[in-house]
Amino acid sequence: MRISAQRPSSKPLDLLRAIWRGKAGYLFILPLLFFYTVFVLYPSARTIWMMFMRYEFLRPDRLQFIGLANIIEWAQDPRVWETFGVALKFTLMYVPASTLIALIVAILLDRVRRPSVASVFRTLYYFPVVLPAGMLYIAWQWIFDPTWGPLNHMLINVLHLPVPWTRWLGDPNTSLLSLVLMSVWRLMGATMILFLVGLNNIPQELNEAARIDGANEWQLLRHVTLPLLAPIFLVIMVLRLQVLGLIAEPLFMTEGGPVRSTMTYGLQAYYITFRDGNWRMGYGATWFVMLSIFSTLVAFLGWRWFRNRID
Amino acid sequence: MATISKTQIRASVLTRQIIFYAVLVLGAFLSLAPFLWLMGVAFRPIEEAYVVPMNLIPRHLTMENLQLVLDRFTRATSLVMLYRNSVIITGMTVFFVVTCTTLSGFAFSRLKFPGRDVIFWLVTIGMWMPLSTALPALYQMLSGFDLIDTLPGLILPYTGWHLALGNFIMRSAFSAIPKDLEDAATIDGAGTFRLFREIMFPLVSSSLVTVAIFTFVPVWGEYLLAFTFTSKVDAMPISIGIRLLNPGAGTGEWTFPVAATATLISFIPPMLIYFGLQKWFTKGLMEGALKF
Repeated sequence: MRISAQRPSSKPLDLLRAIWRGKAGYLFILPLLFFYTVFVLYPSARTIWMMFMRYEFLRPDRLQFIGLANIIEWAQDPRVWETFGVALKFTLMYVPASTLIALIVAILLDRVRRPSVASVFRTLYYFPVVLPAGMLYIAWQWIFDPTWGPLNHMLINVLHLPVPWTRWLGDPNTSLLSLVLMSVWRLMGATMILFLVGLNNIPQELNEAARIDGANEWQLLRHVTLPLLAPIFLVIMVLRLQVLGLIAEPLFMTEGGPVRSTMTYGLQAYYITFRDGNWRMGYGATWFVMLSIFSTLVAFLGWRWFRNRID
Repeated sequence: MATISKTQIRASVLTRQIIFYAVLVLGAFLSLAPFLWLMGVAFRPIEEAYVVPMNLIPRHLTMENLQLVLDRFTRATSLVMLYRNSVIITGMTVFFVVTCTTLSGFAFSRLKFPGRDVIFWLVTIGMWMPLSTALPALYQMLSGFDLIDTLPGLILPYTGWHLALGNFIMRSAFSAIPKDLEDAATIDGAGTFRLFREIMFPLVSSSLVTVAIFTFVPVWGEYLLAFTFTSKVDAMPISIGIRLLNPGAGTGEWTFPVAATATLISFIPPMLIYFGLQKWFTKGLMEGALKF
């Protein structure tokens, strides 16, 4: 009786005392917490809440709790599958291409003996990543231009290649591919750095031991380097999964066209939220949240699958 | 026989070296090519810009496009405005992020308080949270505060969304300081605030630069929030605003080479930081590579 009476009264009191003693800590993290809760956590949570509302930004008077109606509409919306297919097509072209190129470049750079030479190359390869993306989209629109653009000029007049497509962003067959090309160019360096970090962490003795055992370069790569890079592959896959929600590239360069060939899931959600009708934010929020749930699920499953394979 | 095979081996090693470097150089060239082409457009005379096909390399070089942009800078307000907005938005965001994460990095690594680790991981998860999921509510919130089409309307969300990486880097920086130093200062009677200001803060200044760089570069080129939250030149950063100045036909003063020059000028700040602060940049990349 005495024990049970004492425990609840002393435990919260201890906690309060600990909180009071740690007050300086809270004071130091207060500015961070302010920005983080108000501009990151709260809007994210509020978007989830919007999912259950009929909420049109330009008609706030029509605000009403509608339960699962948005989710039901989403599940029956044919645009979901159509645009998700476009995003998936982009992901399936972009992720393997950029990962493979970055891996090759990283392995080559890792073999450059002189650190100063390696750092010059690394600096140049990473260079596109630091350029302001918004401006690069415009520059690449010029580059892809069928008449003035240097890409066609280079391929046709200089290299004399038989190019089957020349309209790039203007052709529904190649518009998505063009966005992939630009993205691979723009972000290859970022993936390369991840691989370089991974290669750096491989102990040099391991490579030497394999060489002494008579492994050639290819065997070394296949049986030592790549298996040890497995965790980095996982990180890259999880990070790159974000391109499923791709918005900015098609928004700025093609506006989803021509004939919806670059209308990605993220862009469709963006247009529903900020352009269609009275800006259907509640329904748009549903699109965004459903994608987040899906991406998190895939990342989690991928992580488990990968971990099992490594063990 | 033996000597021949030795020279053969040497020759084959040399060939392999040549191919190896040729591939690396070609790759580096492809990385730079769009940028070099843009330079070529910016410094070519107007007559060479509007011919089909447009030569990859200009025959003559000229500074007149730069002159035209600079003229426009002094005459037309819009371009000055766009650059000014970008400088203010990026500068303020960097200031807020550096301030917040220096304080929080110290607390998360050196102070003890209930919930510390939970809060730290909650903030760190923010590195992988999709910005688009917060977009509708963020817009509604900012418009509720009348912050759409204003500079704070971009600075505040930018700060929130760029804290996680800085917080992570700063906590590692403070954790790297030996405990003895802290103990010595405490014995000398220094309180938490003096410990932070006089002992710890000077020791993490290089990480501070890293955080500043890694906030500056993405914010300077940010486009999605900037495009969504601004529609008037008063608050628009250059990353979006340059779109308003898209070149049309070969006439008028806003020609293709002039636009290319203006674009190149917007590349200058991140390039200066990238090439000028290579040391810190590489350090930050290796520390915070997971984010990119």
